[in-house]
Amino acid sequence: MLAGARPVGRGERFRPLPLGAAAAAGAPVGGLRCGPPAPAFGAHLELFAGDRVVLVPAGIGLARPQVRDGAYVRRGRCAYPLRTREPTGVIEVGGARRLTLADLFALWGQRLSRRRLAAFPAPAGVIAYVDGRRWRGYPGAIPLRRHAQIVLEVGPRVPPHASYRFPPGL
Amino acid sequence: MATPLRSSPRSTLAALAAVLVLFAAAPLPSARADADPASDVLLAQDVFYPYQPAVSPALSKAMSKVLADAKANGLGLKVAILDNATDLGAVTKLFNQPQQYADFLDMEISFNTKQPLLVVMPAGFGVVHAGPQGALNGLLADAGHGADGLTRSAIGAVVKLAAASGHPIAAPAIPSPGASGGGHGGGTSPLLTFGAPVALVIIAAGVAALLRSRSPRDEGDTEDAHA
Repeated sequence: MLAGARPVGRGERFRPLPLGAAAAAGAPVGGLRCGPPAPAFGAHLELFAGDRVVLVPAGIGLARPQVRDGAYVRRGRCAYPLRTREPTGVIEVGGARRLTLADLFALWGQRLSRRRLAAFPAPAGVIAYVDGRRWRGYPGAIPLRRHAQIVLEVGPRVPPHASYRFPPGL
Repeated sequence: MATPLRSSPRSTLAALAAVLVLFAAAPLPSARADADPASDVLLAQDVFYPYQPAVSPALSKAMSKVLADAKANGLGLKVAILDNATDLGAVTKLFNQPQQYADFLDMEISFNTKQPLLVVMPAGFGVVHAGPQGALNGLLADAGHGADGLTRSAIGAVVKLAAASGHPIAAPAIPSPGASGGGHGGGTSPLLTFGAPVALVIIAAGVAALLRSRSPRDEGDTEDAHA
């Protein structure tokens, strides 16, 4: 198990900021609106590039000003149906509409395609797993289902986790 | 015309056994990191607390103070307190293996430095880069009072590690198990803690007495009054 430990990569590319300009301002993003936080379930996302972890920051989907508490973002001025309150990759998924990874990356202000993961180009393709199984379609189309465990990778293969134990209430 | 293949039960079993042997011999892929919450949280703060129950404010304040004191005296420690497997995300196998988890967490957060690290679980402590080996020998984690109990234990462990590292610090005043509300955060008034159940018993007894004093004819409109 120790051989499997990997740290967060060095540099800003591995620690992207949580908000695109539109979401920071609470403006509609791809049909998603910012408002009072709706009840949500959890999904989990892990990102790897070059055999290093890319952090999924706290604060995605929570418009500024944000109330921070150490590593956590407790709330924002308003909340989108997709948001992260902790830097662990746990995503709160709320609202009635079926949401996908593309929606999350749109709020986050990061790029996601078959050949790109955030700041990382992927000439050989972005590799995606859902619940431990390979996802061969466009990564942005991955649905954010309850307790989905999603892994996106660029570069050397990282054996994916198949499941995640979610915090109470999610 | 092709005929369907038929196999004997013995050859089917042999094939199945061969497949099982192949699977047993193949090395299991070890899933890699960043699926344990503490590894992400400790990049931005010095303590990872359990998800539930919330640690009482008084204890988290004491924890912050003792870590600040330790840092000022040359021991910049990070602490992961884990009360149950949920606190480990996808690495639940390491629950209650504090030293193994400490070694694992070290590889995730230390980068090129040696980050002093303390892990506290109900089963005990794990320590990396913080003091001589065995510094916490004989110290038991308080596994009986949830997140508050483990935090109390963590505070004691930090004081002991600081002393063992040659950087002694004073032990902060921390609320005892009863006073901090037993791990449910915020502190509950003793009047409410003890008075409420007593009041409920009295009320229940009163209701029972009232019901017994009523005659059966008074229970006219009951749910079971079907013709």
